Amino acid sequence: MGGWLEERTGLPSALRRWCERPIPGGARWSYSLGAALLALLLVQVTTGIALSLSYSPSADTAHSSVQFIMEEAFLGQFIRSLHYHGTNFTVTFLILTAVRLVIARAYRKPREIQWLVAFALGMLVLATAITGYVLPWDQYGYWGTQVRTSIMGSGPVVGPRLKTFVLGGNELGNLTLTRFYTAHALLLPALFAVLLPVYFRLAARHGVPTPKGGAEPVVPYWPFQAARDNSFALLVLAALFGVALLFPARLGEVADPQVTYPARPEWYFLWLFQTLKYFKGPLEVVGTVVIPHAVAVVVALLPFLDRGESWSGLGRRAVLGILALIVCGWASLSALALWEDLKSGHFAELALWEATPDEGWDVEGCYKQKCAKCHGRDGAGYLDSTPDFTLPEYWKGARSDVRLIKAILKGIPNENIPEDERMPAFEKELTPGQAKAMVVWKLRPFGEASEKE
Amino acid sequence: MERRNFFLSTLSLLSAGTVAAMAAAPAALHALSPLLKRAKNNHDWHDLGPVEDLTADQPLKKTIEVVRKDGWQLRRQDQAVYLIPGAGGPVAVSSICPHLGCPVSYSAESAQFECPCHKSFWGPDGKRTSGPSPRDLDPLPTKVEEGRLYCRWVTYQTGIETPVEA
Ligand code: FES
Repeated sequence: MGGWLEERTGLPSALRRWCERPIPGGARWSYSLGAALLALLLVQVTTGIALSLSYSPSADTAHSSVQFIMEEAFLGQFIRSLHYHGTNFTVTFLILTAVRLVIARAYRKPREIQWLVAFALGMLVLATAITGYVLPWDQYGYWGTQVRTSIMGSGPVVGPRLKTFVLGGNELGNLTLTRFYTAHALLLPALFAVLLPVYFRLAARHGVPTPKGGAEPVVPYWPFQAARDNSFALLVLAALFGVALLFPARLGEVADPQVTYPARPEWYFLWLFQTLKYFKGPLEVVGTVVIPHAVAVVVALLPFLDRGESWSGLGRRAVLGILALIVCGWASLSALALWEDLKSGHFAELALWEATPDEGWDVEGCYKQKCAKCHGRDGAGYLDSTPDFTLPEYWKGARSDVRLIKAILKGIPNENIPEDERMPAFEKELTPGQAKAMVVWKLRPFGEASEKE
Repeated sequence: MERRNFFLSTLSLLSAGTVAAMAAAPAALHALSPLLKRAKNNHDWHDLGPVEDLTADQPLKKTIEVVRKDGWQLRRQDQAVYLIPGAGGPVAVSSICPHLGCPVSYSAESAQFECPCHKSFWGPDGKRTSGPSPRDLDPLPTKVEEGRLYCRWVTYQTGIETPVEA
């Protein structure tokens, strides 16, 4: 049997060579980071395919199809949570693996090309992650992408064209969604699938680099390293499943170009958000283009910057210095961004967005007592300046809950309206959850009732 | 023999190159098409009402419905415009932040325009006072006909020093 297959494919001997490849210095847990990364990517692929069965990329359908996945599709909520948290896991292990490889100086001769391929794979993973955020077409993804592509558009020379190309036009819309979907689910994974075998081919050719402690003892990959790799991957996936079960992914409100969402980049790009604050005006490109690209170029070109053979030379110390600089810079800028957001009330604002309707609260009573005298029992409104909630048009154009919640809590200080007719602020009397309940259980139904007639 | 080899190698390389180009070119051109045709949204004039009603001593917010071609769809979208009192009648400015495109709003309490995204501020005249915005609020074309003010929506490129139509 083995001979038959061997003669026709050569696979059995290739598999044997892979399993028997020597691990100099013995098996180690730190080598298993890459295996965990691979397992996570596998889950991203399978959950991604599952999600694509029900997802529909267009400005009208994206949000509702994701809602359908979460509320109705079998296992949909869980699969989306896996995919969502899987991204964070993947990026985490990508960073850890990169740091380990740099410390081990796994990029040195003759592994330069292998390093570049690994770098490209890492960039593909990041690009896939970033293109995924806009797909649910909620406020978070919409505004995050709005800011990111605007940054792209303000870049030098090709900036504006790049932005038009990425958006499929001048503004975020249907063609942006189809483009991002194609990139996220087809193009980038395809490139990844082409490059990954190249990486494995090179990895098999060069073997595991000899660690600092020397090559003794040498053990075969199977079963010594394989046992560590596979069990570690299992542990990581178990953790991911646990997180996905305990913290289901959320879906924000549908994208509304009229209501600014306080968008922040994902945690691994928070440092760039902070850098942006320091470079203003003509210097902005330093923060948006120069610094991130410089970091990427340095990492990509490491094998050509550090060519020393010995473990004690200047090269290694310089590389560890650069690494420490990047990691510290990243950590402190991210921490600073969080700290400034905490101070400026960003998280309080976010609470308005994330408010869930307060259930054990008398919406009807409150409406009668506080709202009806201007807005009317039927929601049509008595004054010239009050909106008519019963008009379906009022609710058209993705009128966001948060806009109304803000109006309820903060009032509408419009100077053009006589003082006693202005919408007052109810901040002191109502919680965000109660305001949300008012919007979804009392105000929205006014519009829905008249639409049915 | 030498000659024949050279000829066959050249033929084979050229053919392979052309095959690759034939596979790639239509798709690549299609993907790049947003750059080739500049689909400008030429918006209609919106009636904002009689000019005398629109002359206040501070910026006035008006909402206009902008129709935009979004791929296969015509999308109606509310956009806020602000009318700033000027010497020769109200001047219209866009509510899109020239920095990175968030919506700007006017705060009567602090008497300034503000962008919540990265904290840009403009005076009540729409002139930039502080923050990362590279320019003043963007002007929108207006015209007066029979005593009524009309305004046309324009989308501008963000992040650059002069307002250029996107
Ligand atoms: S988008 Fe307005 S300040 Fe940045």
